[in-house]
Amino acid sequence: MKLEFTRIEGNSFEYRVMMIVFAAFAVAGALATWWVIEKGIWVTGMHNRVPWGFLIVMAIYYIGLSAGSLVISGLYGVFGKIEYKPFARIAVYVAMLFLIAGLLSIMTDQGRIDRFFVQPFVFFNLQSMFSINPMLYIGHILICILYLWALFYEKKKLTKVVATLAFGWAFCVHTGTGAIFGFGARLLYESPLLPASFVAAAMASGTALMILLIVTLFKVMDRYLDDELIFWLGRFLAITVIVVLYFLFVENAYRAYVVELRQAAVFYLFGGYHSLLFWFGLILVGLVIPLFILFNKKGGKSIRWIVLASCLVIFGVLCERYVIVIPGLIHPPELFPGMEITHSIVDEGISTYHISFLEVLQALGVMGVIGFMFGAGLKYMKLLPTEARIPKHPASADS
Amino acid sequence: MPNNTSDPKSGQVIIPVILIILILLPFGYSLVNRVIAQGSDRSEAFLERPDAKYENCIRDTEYMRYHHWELLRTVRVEVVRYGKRGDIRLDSCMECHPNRERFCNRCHEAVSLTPDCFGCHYYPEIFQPSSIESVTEKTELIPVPDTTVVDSILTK
Amino acid sequence: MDRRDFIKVAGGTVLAGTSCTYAFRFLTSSSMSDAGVDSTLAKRKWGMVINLDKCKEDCTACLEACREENNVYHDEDDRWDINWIRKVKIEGKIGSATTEKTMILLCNHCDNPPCAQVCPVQATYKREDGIVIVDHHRCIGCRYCMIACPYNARFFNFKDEEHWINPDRPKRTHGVAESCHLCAHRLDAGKMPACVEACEKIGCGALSVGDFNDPESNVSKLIADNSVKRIREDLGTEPKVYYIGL
Ligand code: SF4
Ligand code: SF4
Repeated sequence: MKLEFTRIEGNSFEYRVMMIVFAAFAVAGALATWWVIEKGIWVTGMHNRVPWGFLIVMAIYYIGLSAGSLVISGLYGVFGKIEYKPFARIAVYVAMLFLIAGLLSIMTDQGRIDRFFVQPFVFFNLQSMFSINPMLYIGHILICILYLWALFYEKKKLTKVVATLAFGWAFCVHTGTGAIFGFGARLLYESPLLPASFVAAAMASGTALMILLIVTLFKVMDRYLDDELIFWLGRFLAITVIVVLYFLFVENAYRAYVVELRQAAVFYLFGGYHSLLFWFGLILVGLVIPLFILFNKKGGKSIRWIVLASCLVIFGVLCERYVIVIPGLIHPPELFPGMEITHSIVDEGISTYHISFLEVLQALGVMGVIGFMFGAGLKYMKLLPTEARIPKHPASADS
Repeated sequence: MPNNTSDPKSGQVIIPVILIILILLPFGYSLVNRVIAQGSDRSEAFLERPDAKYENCIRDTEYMRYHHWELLRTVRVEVVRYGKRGDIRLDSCMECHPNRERFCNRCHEAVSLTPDCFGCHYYPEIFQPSSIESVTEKTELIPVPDTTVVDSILTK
Repeated sequence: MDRRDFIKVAGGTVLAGTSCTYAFRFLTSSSMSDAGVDSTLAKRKWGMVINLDKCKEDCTACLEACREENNVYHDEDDRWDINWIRKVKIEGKIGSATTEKTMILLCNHCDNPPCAQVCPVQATYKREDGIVIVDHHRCIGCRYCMIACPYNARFFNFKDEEHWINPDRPKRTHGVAESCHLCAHRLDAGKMPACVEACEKIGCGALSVGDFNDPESNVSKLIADNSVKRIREDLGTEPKVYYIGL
C-alpha cells in the first residue's frame, strides 16, 4: 500500500464560499485595524490600567494552537509512528499558519505599527522577553517551511532531524511566550510555572484542533479515515487535558496557600466575570466535561463525541488564555501593603475591561488571513492523503 | 507524480503573483507616490529663501539640502539618549525658516517623504496663498534629491 | 505550480525577508549607532526627596506645573488621562486608629528599572545619571513597560494631544508610552524640574531634587537628617524617590 497525497479540486461551491468568507473576514479585519490606527487604540477599549487586551489573548492562543499541531506531526517525524504519517504535512502547515496568525495579532496590537518592522530588528534588547520572542517565532516559521519541504520530498533523514529541531524549538517558543507573563511583575502573572502550564495548554488545544480539522476535512472530501487513529488522538488529548488540570491546580493552590498571595487568589477565583470564565468556561466546559467524554466507554469510541470534546477543549483553552492575561491586569499592583488608596485621580483599584467589537473584528481578520492561506494550501499543495489507514505492514507503508 | 489538479496553469500563475505583489506593495506604493509627485508641478521644489543670516547656517547649503535629516537624527540621539544639549535645535532652524509649509513640506512632498517630526515638535505651519510668481521671487528652484524606500524608513 | 516550487518561493521569500531585516542592522549601523558619544552625565545620580509633612492637602501646584511644562495629555475620561505626577490619599489601620496620608506618586526612577528591562527596543532606558526616560522616537507602543512597572507610573498616549500648551517643549503623538522624566531637559540646563519650582513658588518646598552622588547636595543632607522611606522597597527595584513622613 502506498500513501498517496493529492490536492483537492477546489472547484466546488462550498470551497468557493469558504474562501469568500475567509477573504471577507480578512478585509473586515484590515478595515478594523485601519480604523484603530486612524483613531488611536483607545477605541478598542484598552486603557491605562489594562493596556493589553483581546488581541494579546488571541496572539498567545494562536501560538499555542501552533505548538499542538506540531506535536501531531512530531508523532511521525520524531517518534516514527508510521500510522500518523498521513497527518504530518497538514499538521506542519497548520502550525506554520497559526504562528503567522500570532505574529499578525501582535503586530496589529502595537501602538506604532509603522515602526514595528524596523525598530525591533535594529535595536534588540536581549533582556526583554518581547524582543527574544519574535526571533523565536521567525525561526519557528522558517523551520516549519524546511520541515514541510523535507516531508514533501520524502527525505527521511532530513525529516527526522528537522522534526526534532522543530519539536525542541516549539517548546522554546511556547516557554518564551509563557515567560512574557510568567516573568512579569504583576502579582497574578508572576509564576515560574506559567511557561510550563502554557506549553501544556498549548498541546491540549493543538491536539483538539487537529482532531477537529482532520475529521472534518476527511469527511467533507469523502476520503477514508481509520477511526482507530482518531481514538488514539482522543486518548492523547485526554492526557494533555489532565496535565493542564494538574498545572492549574498547583498554580492556584500555591496562590491560595501563600499568605501574601491569598487576596489575589481570591480575586482570581471568585472576583468577577473572569472567575465565571475560569470555573465554567475553562474548568467545567473546557476540561472536565471533555475528560468525561473521552474516558467514557461510549464517548471514547465515537468520532462524534471525540469531535465534541475537541471543540470544548478548544473553547476552554481560549478561556484559559483570557484568564491568564486579563485578571492579571485588572488586579492592581499593591503600592502600599497594608494600606488602602481611598482617593486618586487615576483608577488605582480593581479595573474593568470589556472586549470590544473592533478587537473581535481584528481577531476574525487574522483568522480570515490564515483560513484563506489554508484553503489555498489545500488546493495547490498535496497536503492530505487519499486515505488514512493503519498499515498492516508498517515497513512497507513508508516506501 | 500524478497531478490531480484540474487546472495546473492557474496555480502556476496565481501563487507567485500574489506573493510578488505582497512583497512589492510597499515599494510600489512609494514608487507610485514618486511618479505622481514628479508629474506634478512640484517636481522641482520651491524652497523659501531666508532673508537674513543666510550665511550663518550651521552647515553649507549643499549638505543641508540632502543630509539635514542625518544631522538632525544624530543630534536627536545625542540629546535624548546622552543629554548633550547643543545649539542645534529645530527651534533654531525656525529662526531663519519660519514657514514650515513653504520650507519643509514642499520638498518632502516632492520626494514623497512624511517624516514624523512635527507630530511632536513645534514648527508652525503657516499657509499662504501660493501663486507661483510671488513665490518664485523669494524662492529657489532645487533639483529633487533621489530617495529610496530605505531612506524613508530611516527617517523614522 | 508544483508544490515544491511553492515551498521554494515561500521559503525563499521568508528567508530573504528576515535576512534583509537583520542585515538592516549592519547596513545602518554606521548612521544609527549610538556609540562614540561621550557623556558627562555619569558623574551625577539624580533623585528626589518628598517631604510629605510640608505638602498641603488640596494643593495641586506641582501637578499643573508638570502638565504645562511637558504638554502632558489631559483627557476628561480618567481611563485615558495621563498623570506623570499624581496625588493620592491613603488610609491605613494601626490597631484601632486610622491614619490618613496624602501622597505624591510619580515615576521612582528605579535603579533596577523593570520597565527598561522589558522594553524590546530599548526605548525605555536608564540614562547614565539615573533618570529613566523614554525615547519616543523609538517606542513601538507595545505597552510591556506599563505592565512591568510595579508603581503604576507609566501611561500610554491612547489619543493625540490637540492643543500645544508649551511650544518650547515637544508633545507626543498617539501610540507611545511615557512617564515622568524628572524634567531631564531642565536638569541638563542647570534648572530645577517644573514641579519643584512650582512647589517652591507657593512657599511649601516639599519637593527637592538633587544629586545623590554628591554628599553635600540638598537631597543627600535631607536623607541623612530625616528618616526616609521608599515605596515597596521589598521589590528590589531600588527607587530613587524618598519620602519623609510616610
Ligand atoms: S517607577 Fe515604574 S516607570 Fe519609573 S523607573 Fe520604576 S519601573 Fe520604570
Ligand atoms: S511601549 Fe514603548 S517604551 Fe514601553 S516597552 Fe514598548 S517600546 Fe518600550
